[in-house]
Amino acid sequence: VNAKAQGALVACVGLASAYLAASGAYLAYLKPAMRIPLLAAGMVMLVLGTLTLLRAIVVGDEPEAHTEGHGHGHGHGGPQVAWLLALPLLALVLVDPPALGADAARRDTAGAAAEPAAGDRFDPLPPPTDGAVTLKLGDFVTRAYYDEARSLAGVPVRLTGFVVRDPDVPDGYQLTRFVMACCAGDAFPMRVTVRGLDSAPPADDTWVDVVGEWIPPEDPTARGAESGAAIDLSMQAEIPEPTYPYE
Amino acid sequence: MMTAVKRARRRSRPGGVVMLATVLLVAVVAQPAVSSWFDAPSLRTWTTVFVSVCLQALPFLVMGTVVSGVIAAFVPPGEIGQLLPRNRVLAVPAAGFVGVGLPGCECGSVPIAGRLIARGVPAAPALTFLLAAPAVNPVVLVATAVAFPGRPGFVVARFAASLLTAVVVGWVWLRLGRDDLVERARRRPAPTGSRAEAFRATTVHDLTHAGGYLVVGGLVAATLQVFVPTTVLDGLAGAGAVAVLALAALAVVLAICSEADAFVAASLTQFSPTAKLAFLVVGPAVDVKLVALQAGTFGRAFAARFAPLSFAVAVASAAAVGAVLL
Repeated sequence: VNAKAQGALVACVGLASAYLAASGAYLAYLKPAMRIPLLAAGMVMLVLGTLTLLRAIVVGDEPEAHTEGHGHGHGHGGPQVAWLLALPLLALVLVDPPALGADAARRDTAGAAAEPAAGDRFDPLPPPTDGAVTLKLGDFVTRAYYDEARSLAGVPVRLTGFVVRDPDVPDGYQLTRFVMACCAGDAFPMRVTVRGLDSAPPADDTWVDVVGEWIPPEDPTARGAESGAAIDLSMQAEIPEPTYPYE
Repeated sequence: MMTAVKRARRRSRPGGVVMLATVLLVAVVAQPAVSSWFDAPSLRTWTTVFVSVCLQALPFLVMGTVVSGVIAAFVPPGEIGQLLPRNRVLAVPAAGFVGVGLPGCECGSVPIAGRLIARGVPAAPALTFLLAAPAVNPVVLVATAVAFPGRPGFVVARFAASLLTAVVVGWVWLRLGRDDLVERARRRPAPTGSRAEAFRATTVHDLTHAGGYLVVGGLVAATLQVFVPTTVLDGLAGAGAVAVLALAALAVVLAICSEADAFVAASLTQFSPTAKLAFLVVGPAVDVKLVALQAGTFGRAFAARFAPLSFAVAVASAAAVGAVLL
């Protein structure tokens, strides 16, 4: 990699990162708090890359070769491995990868809602709007798993997620949403089994708002993942994918 | 003669910039025509994870290389080494505590550690800094407290086990490590030209170098994450040494940023607290992305020794601290 290509690569990666941050497209991959760091990193790379490219055009590649001539797989100028920086760019342009969906959810079966602090009481449910309490999918699952006061019993709840079809649930599907800490690489799926659907389930990855009532586990002493989280559906509406598809 | 052949070959090759521009342009123009080739759900999941891992690490990598560039351009050689205790045995824990003050992920600390060695800091304390900085900084500890509400013991245990790992690895390196293994980092020439020019040259060099290896790590991590079924964990859950080793190995494979790994550990509810601790202690020290970065910065021979050493010490520290505190 000569200095020109080095500068061009750094500038391109910087431009792409800044664009993703500015346009909001980064939300398919990162949490909202990463916007400013990503934008700043992109701008730094864009400036440094452009300066390197311009300098190489004006001065030529030679000075760079002197500072880099220390032979660890460097050809002339920069390390050959730098070419790999083009791969994420190509992946973005060619595949335009979507936010994690049904395929990823089917692959990941390890994660489960973490137990809240021992001895903690759950806050009271928020007041209902339009006849149902709106909850995050993760909150619903945590309450279904661990709330000994059974705050969900008999309360219509409204949840948002995408459809993952499940052959074990003939009258419904797994309503799913990924919970993310930093990036899609650490996201894991939260699932609520939707039952009581009287038509065919929507296609995989269809985003839906659902209203339904919690189905308590058959074994009243069950705790954690074995108690399951399920609702009896009363209303379902297809919606567009949210701007931030994770929780 | 060889040089003449090489030079001839180089001249006949299209320039790098032309190639890069052509490839990207063709990709953009052909995208509508070829996008259906990439419709397979597994490929799209893989690409999402790959792009996410790279994007997530990028700001931290840029921060690390900018710090590295500032050290190269503005700090005279030898000066940083004098800030540490003269006694090498004491310099190691001192470097560990310096790491506490640097918020960031592991991707940022590799180029900084490489630069420290190039500026004359002995290898052992620099490596202790490399291990401590991503694992025991305030941001990571707060994230751990949030992920494990009501269990401050986890934060204390993580801090203790990670610092212990960093210091013990530093001491082992002092005793057994060979300095020729970090020659690649040490031989980095001092930048020439004005300070601004030195900053630009070293930052861009570190960025393209570490960035390329980051992509290697991202490729491996995405492939392992997407194509190794998580059901392999099912039989290993519970308590005992097997669970500890299983989550330690998972940390290597998943390559999750140290600021996010506590949330994933908390979600692995079927495992014992000590196993989760091992996940948190091993992750920032050894994972596939990090090994790629270390191999790039210090050389393959170094990474082949340093990664197993860090892994073994991290697992032992987590087991010992977990037995006492959790």
